Amino acid sequence: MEVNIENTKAQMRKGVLEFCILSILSDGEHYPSEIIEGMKESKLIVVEGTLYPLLTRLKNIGLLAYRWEESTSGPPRKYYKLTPLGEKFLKELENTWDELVEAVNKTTKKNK
Amino acid sequence: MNKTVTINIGGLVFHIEEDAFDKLSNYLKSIRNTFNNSDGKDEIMADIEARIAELLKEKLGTYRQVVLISDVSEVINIMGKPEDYSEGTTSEEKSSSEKDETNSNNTRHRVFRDQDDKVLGGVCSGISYYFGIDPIWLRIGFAIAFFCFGTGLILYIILCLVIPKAKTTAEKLEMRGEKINVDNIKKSIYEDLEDVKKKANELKNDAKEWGKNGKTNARDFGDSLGNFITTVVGGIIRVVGKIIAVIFIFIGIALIIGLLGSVLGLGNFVHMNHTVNDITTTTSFSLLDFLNVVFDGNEQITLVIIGILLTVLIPLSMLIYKGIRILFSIPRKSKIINGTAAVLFTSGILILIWVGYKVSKNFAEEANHKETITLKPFACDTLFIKAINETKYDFDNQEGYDTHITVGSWNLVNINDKKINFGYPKLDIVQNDIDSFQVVLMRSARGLTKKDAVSRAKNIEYDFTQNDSVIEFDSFYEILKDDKWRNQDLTIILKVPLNKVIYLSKSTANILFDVENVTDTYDRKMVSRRWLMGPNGLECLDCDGLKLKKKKYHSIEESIDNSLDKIDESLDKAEKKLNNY
Repeated sequence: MEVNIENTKAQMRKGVLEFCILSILSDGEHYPSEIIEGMKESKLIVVEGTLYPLLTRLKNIGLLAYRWEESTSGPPRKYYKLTPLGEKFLKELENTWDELVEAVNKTTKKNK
Repeated sequence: MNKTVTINIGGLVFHIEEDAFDKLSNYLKSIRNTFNNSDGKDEIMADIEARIAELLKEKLGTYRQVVLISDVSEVINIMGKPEDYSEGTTSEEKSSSEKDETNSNNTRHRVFRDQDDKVLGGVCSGISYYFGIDPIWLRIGFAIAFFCFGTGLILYIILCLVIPKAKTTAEKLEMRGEKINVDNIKKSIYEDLEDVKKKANELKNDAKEWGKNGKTNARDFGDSLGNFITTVVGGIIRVVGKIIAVIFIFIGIALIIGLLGSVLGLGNFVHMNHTVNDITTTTSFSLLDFLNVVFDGNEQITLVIIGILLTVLIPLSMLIYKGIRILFSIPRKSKIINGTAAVLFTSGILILIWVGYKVSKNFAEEANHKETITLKPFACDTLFIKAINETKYDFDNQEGYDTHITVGSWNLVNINDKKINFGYPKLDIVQNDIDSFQVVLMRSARGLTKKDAVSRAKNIEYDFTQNDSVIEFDSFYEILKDDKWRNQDLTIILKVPLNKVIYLSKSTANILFDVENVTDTYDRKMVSRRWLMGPNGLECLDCDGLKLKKKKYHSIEESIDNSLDKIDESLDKAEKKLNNY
């Protein structure tokens, strides 16, 4: 049942990833490479490709906005920032996350 | 030294080596496939391409100009493999994209034209990959086939059209995939057999269950039976399809060789050998000989040949084309080929119709040319009629084969490479109203105009000789070499005065044609007898005691009568034998 584990991991990570992206962006504007740097350190993301679909999705549901900025080392870059809706969303997620961690810790410890 | 390609990624221009380009474009393609079902696919792709451009630019720095395959590999490592991308999409999409991946990774083997190792179109090289043989053998084969009246060329063109080029790396890998050799065929057959065995076992188990549990498992049993039948029938259809495809290809090639051979006049359409008096003569005719008989001038013959080639070659080529597609499971890419074939075929038919119309106009008018010759008086009271040169063109060969070819009333014989047009005259015998023997030669032919027809009729060469009371008719008439077949015909009318006697020698049997007589005797039974021209027509003088058959116009009745005679004869013989014992 190896495949199922992989699948569950991916599912878990996916939800957490969106949360992480939002919280990285809470301190200001960033372009994708910068976001990745932050996430690579914590081994949340290993390859860059994963990020782009997520950013597009978050932007499409109105949590993120971007502006173009010319770059000296390549094509223009997209700088992302949180929309007011995104900030609200992040607040709620933070609350949920704390609750969730607490609940998960309780449950898993009890069963061990 | 390597070839480079110029590409535009995220608005920047890059020079990239060909292999690196293949790798990159395959990479982008498979990523695109991963996002197939997500919204904003184009935007995601644009973002990714922009990032790749940025990374490549970083890699190149300021002094390097060309992107290498190692750069692409590094970029792919940073960006992640296609399967990593699916993490950003939903799990269902992931599993489906994984499935695609395994499908394309499976050693699927397809035939492509090899663009890396090609002489002309890469056909031989590609096919040899498919069968795991050295391309040199195929190349030699095609070179030989090229000299079979260009059949190799036609086949090569068809293959070029039907087999796609191996453009991407994936296609190249598919082209080079697992070789089709005996071991692999055996393996795949075993796999198929295992499948069938498995299905058969399921079937058996279900049948047992059915027996135990009665009707409850009837549906299960039906399902497995259905599965089993589908597997077996599917397998059989696939195998039969391939066999039919091979047959298609072979028939097509054989017919093309034959057709081109006969059209180009190198091969013989009809070939006959015959031996006369220990001398063997070879008679052969090419299609061109046939065409020369009917068609007027090189222009018409060229058109007819083009017409025939189009109406026959195109369907044959399509036969081969379809066969190859079935054999190598190549999907149809466009309708252009079918459309072109249909247009060419139709134009071939139209050309033939047009030439046919032109030729038919040459048959518009009929004309007769009548020549009357009065025979010299002779002492004897009986005129002896003979036919000569019976075996001049109709060789008496033991094999019983014809020595000539016939188009309508036209016959063509080829003796020692000399082609002669000839026909069979018809001899009729009627009463003359003046007191002398006369021979009338009625020559007839058709033509564009009356004048044309008359001059053609006059070209019928015929001769007879009178030697005192003996008259000798030639068994054949000839037509000038350059004349075309326009329904030429020759009737000889022998006019016999009242109360004169003629003797029909045995040799005239072949030229007598429907001669009227009072006893209605068949032409062939009239020979070797003396006939008197009475007031009512010819009367037999020495037929006493002979059973004379009623004249019949239907050959079936004639043959029945003949057989009855034979039966009578054999009955008589049998009776005699019986009496002897």
